[in-house]
Amino acid sequence: MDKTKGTALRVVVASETPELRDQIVQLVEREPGVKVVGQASNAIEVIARAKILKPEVTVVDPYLPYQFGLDGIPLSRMSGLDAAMSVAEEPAGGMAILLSNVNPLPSRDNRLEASAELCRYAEGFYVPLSLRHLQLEAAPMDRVVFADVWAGETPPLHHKALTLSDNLLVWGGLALVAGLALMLTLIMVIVGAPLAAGGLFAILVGLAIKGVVRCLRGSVSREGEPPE
Amino acid sequence: MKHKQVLRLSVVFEELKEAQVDKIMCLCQAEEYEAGGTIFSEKSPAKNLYVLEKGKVALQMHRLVEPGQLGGRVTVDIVAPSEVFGWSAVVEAHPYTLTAVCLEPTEVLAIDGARLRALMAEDHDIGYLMFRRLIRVVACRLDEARQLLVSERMQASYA
Repeated sequence: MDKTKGTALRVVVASETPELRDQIVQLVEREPGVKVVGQASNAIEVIARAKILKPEVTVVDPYLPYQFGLDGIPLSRMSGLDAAMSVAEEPAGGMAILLSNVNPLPSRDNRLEASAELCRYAEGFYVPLSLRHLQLEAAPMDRVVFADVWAGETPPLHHKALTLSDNLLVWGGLALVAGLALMLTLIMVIVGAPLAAGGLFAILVGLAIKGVVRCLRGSVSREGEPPE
Repeated sequence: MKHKQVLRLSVVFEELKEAQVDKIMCLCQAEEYEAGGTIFSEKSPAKNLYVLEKGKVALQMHRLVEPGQLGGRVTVDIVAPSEVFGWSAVVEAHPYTLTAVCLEPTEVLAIDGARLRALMAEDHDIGYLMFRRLIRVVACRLDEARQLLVSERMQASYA
């Protein structure tokens, strides 16, 4: 039995071609507890699907056609942003994710590259994106999120460095507060002082890593950009 | 140098000589926007002409639901690198007719519209060469818009 069935995050995916849609579906469903419940090939269709299915998240390709005209010719292949905004404006439409760039998705055997992941450009870097976290964090006014697809050979180094520095700052801060609290009791000074010193050291190391990564931003972000 | 190269690649500035491009470079300022950022909004004063250096920008227009009442925004064009947008700053100092939203992290060259108009008035060669190319670009966009309109009307009439 699927443990996530009851609480699965419901997603609708919209892209013009079935191949690209399949790859976006595979990409989205890599995250545990995420289930694609509907697909659409044009803007009119995705807005209708979002109204009926009421997904928590709708993932949209920017070059989505408005609709298909006579003989199946796609009309106005630039409706991705409009569709994302319409879905997000619906009271029960949930959040919309506009994929800025779907080019890195490979077409080889229609199988998704193992390293491919959703990411978001923040503070000058591409950072991995979790739909579940995003849904919890996003403010009501921030319901159209601009994301990207990373399909590099290896995850960029700065992802790891930034994650490490964040962890050091959080845990260092907690250790520092705990250490200071223990020192206030006077009896536990022997335990509190090294704990506070360790926490302070972790914070300084975390800040130093952040500083180094930011200094290298130009070269690292070029390295970390998804390929054109 | 990188910015100058971007300017030279743009259709509007490609006929200009080196010295003329240098004069325009003096009016340029590089700007960066995050994905989802708005470069300018519809009806705001058109201060700058923009050349897209990197990224992708959607140009959107509010649709009129009823007289005086605006509905959601509709994308009318997506700008690719080295293309120009924000023509209102050059043609006349009118408000922008569209909203420019970045679809991905974007770098643009913003050319001061008032100073560019003054330069074109002072140096007629620059003015003529720029307007000649600008009109060609606008004509292409108009043609694309007409084709789209015809396709959609055909679709509506057969639906």
